[in-house]
Amino acid sequence: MRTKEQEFLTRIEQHKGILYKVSKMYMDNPDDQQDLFQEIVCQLWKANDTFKGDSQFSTWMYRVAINTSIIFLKKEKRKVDKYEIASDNIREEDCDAHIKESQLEHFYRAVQKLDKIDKAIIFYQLEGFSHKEIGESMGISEGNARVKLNRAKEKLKEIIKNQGYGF
Amino acid sequence: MDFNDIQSAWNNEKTENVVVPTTTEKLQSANTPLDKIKKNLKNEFIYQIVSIIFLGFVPFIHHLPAKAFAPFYLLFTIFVAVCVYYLVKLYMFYKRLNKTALSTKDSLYETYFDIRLNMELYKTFGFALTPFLVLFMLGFLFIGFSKTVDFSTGLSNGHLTALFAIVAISILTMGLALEWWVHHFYGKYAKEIRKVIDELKEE
Repeated sequence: MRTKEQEFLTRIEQHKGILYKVSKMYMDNPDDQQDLFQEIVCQLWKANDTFKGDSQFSTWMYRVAINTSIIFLKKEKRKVDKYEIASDNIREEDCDAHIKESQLEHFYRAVQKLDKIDKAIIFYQLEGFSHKEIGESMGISEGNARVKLNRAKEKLKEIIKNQGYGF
Repeated sequence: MDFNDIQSAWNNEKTENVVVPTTTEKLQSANTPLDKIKKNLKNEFIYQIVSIIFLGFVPFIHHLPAKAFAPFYLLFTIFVAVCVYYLVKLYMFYKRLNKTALSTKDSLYETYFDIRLNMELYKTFGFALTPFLVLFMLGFLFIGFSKTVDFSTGLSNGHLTALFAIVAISILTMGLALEWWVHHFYGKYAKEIRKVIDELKEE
């Protein structure tokens, strides 16, 4: 049991970056992101026995993480949108690292305005999934995945433009 | 900025500082619709057990006449059997494995239908208890008024009308309360998931 748990936690450690990114895409403030991160790890642990090893752990993990994020419920007491407040302080810096950071912040802020399915599709795209793989993970056809992805990208572009960031 | 920039920033995002739990023991799921329903169900299970125990002592608390004990406990036994049947069924329902590893569409459909099924089961449970509520109430009214009203000569039209009104209002109130309760505690989750399922439809 201990070995199984350790093996699981080692795998989570290896893929924690992805879980963190999913949490950031679906939740707009750090407290909710932390809650979602914990919830995903919990659901992964609960579903751990269903992982048969016939697919990559990461593929299986993406699926559980996205499915959990879609149905995750925010804690009601947190009504203040901290992300909106924090985002007022974004400054465009010259240095490359800061530009990337700023682009990411604009991206995360914009992605909050997409619906849950669009967020999932954008996430899979950024993780390098093909249309076919997106369709398989979402349970929709490849064609539908392509249409939804193009639409989600258009929406995202518009939102980023409306934020005043050149696209 | 274009999508290549987003991709590049995404690939280079630093995540080294993310803290992963060191043990699975303290991991607690609480923020998914099914977890909320489980929590509600657990609370209701406790209230239901307390109510059943309390109801079992009512004849002693209210000093019911000895001849009322047999019909009361006959009704009470059937009432307990119905409660146990539904509570066990609802409990078993939530002991099943979770399905978060399915494709998103299948996972959402499973969750949605689990909630809908639970809602219907819950309503049936409530309606199954309604006749008991009415019978217990009539029994208490009969015992309460038997000192002042002579039932051996039959009921007057006024009494019959009052009785009919009480029964009708009880059933109506129970029905409305059940609809509100189920919608308030479970319906909103089903509606939310239905909305996401609709977003997945072919375009």
